Amino acid sequence: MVRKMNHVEMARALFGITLGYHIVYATIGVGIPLLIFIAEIVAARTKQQVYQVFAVRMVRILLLLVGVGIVTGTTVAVMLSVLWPTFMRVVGQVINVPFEMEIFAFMLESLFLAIYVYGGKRLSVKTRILSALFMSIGSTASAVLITDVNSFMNTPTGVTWVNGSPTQIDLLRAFFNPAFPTELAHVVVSAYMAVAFVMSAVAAKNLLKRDQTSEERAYHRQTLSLTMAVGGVTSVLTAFIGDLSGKFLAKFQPEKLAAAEGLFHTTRNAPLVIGGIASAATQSVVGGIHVPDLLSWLATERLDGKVLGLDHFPQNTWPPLFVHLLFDTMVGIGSFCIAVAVTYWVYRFRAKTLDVPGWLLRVIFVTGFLAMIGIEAGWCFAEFARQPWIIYGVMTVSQAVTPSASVGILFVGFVSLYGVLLIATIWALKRYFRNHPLSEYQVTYTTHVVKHEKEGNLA
Amino acid sequence: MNIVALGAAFIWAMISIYTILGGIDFGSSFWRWYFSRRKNWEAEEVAHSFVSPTWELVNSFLVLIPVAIVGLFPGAAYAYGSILLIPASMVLGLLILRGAYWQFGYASEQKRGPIIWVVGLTGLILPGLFATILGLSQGGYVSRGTQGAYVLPLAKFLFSPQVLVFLAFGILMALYLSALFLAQYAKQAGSLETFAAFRRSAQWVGPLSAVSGILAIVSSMHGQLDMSHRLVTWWPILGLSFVMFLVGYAGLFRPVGMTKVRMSLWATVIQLVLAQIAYGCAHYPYVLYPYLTFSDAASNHSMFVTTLVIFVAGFALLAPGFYLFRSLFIKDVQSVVSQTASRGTVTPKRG
Repeated sequence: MVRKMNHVEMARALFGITLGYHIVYATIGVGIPLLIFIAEIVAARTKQQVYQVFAVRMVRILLLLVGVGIVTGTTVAVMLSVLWPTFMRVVGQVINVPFEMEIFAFMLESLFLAIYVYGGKRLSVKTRILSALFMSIGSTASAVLITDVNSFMNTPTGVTWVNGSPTQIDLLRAFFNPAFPTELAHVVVSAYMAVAFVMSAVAAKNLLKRDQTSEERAYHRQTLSLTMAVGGVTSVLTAFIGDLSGKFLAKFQPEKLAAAEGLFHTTRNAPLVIGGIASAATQSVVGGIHVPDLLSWLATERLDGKVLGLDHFPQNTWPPLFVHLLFDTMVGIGSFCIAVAVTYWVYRFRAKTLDVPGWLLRVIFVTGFLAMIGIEAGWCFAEFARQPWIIYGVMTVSQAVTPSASVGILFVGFVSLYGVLLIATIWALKRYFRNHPLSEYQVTYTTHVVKHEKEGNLA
Repeated sequence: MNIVALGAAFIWAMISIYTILGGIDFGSSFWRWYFSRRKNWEAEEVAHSFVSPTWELVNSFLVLIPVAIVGLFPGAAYAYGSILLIPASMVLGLLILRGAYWQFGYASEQKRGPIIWVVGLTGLILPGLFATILGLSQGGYVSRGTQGAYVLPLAKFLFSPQVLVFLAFGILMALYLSALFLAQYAKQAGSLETFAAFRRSAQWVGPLSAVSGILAIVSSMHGQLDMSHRLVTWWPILGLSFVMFLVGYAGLFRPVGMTKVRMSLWATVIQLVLAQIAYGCAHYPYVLYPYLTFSDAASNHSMFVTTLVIFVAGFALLAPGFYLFRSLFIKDVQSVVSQTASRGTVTPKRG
């Protein structure tokens, strides 16, 4: 029994590390095309070259990350079958359609990325904008489709289970399962948000450097302004959709909500507990700030609404209690992002200048990292809080795992591989932007684009 | 032809296409390494300029195959998934290294050396590893443990002489095909010296790839699908395939100026496709001998049909995009041709 547990946990750890690593690349791969699309539109509207330079530089990041994302994505696709063969046998009968469509969405993205890079200056403004749009549609559709499989794992509809085997399969109802709308909206908008904050952190970091020329400062100020606008709007949207997700959980996965909020006892007028540690021994959250009635209101839109607690469910299907902290990390970072964006815009309107004080730049710089941590915390919450199930209420993770032993050796191998890859990605990005400083674009903008096209061959 | 056979043919067709695309892609990166070791920089550049724009496309084709197998034959995905944890992870590790080194090559010119050998070495091994799956599918290695779980004794598999023959065949086939392709590529670019270098490589790899291919077919172990006898039924296709090999190979021995290497290349592609058709037909109906047939492994009817429809529709929808890309690419190549003609570097012509 103990050995079996170790085996499952090793497999979970290997897959978790792989996904956690891939999520960074995937999230940036979803967010950057949108920013390129917006930058192209703003450039066409305002006739300011700055935004075009921004778009061109972001494409470089995208090219590198998509290249690495392809191999980590291939790894995820193959690992699904070799680590969770029993799960994939069910997927193959019920919910493989989104996986299949995702490949074509990805091809759409790479194709228009290649056209955008290749075509370079030869493309008309309209074609450039359209290419960026299709790129963005492709990458967003990829995210939506992959998320659909995850939402099926949360709410497996369109199938009847007889002794764990799927029968009476309705592909459409499996595809459009109840969790799909809120989950896809939350994943997509939060990815847009996180990447906007990451890019504004890059701008903030450059504005904090003392050795920048006035042209460089102008460029970074304007990109900061653009990314803060996108980040502001999307962070508010993320919160709004996050609230809908909470209401969704209350209805369809109350166990997950109870664990997220550390609510042990079913109750009316449930308080919202912010922070603190959920303790099984005391059957309560130790520490944290209690806000009376708020959880009832958030979950049911009534102060005296009834919220199911963990006591409603058998203890052997409880998710691990630490998910409460993951959940609060996600919500806390999301709220902090809204606060930063609001501060930035209030300051801009008050001071009526593009200049932003150093302390705010430092905060924005840190927010970039936090936003990415928020994404990771959100995904970790989503996955840990479904435990012990891989398909909610139907199949547990330990039923799905491969019978092959020796996951442990692989774990060491893959973790070191990802470590090297992460360092190399950062190295390559730094290297590229050191060899291609901003001055290169402004002074010899046209020649650079010609060079860029040739590099497109390599992409 | 029933629908299960149609699905099996579809999977096999995708594997065939991947064999050819991947063989050229992987082999080319090995030749790049090989010629950089011999300081033949022009040949190195030919190999490089081909591989660069294609590997991502080839890689996304690789992902199509497991996803299609899960949708059409989830039973096969289950069977192979349960036994291939270690081998598949080895392949993934090599693919990750290869892809990463490619990407990082764009960031810095100074790290060319390690990039060339990592990409070249992984390009050499990977096609061989893929080919060993064929040996596995013929049975004799996998057994069923308690509760029907599939078990693969890894050492027995990896060190079996037959698997080593498949490994050698995969490697040599990729080297032959890519040498032909690069020879044709160099010829198109008008670089006769480089063309001759690749032609020489093709001349000595060709017979080795044919011999290892024949050995792979005839070597069968006790308890395996008896491929050599099952293939006899399909002798006309197999015979034609061999004739195509001879045609392609003989074409390499005309004087340099007169060699129609394009003909050799196509003859070899046809040779491979015919051999794969014969092999696939002889292997049918087994996915994993003797435990699993395609109809046992097949998904339910609605998923099966939907999967086929999605793949056909997906390719149809993306076709205009690929066409636009290709036309852009060719225009781009024409401008690069005039710029680099003086330097003697190579001018890709394919999209």
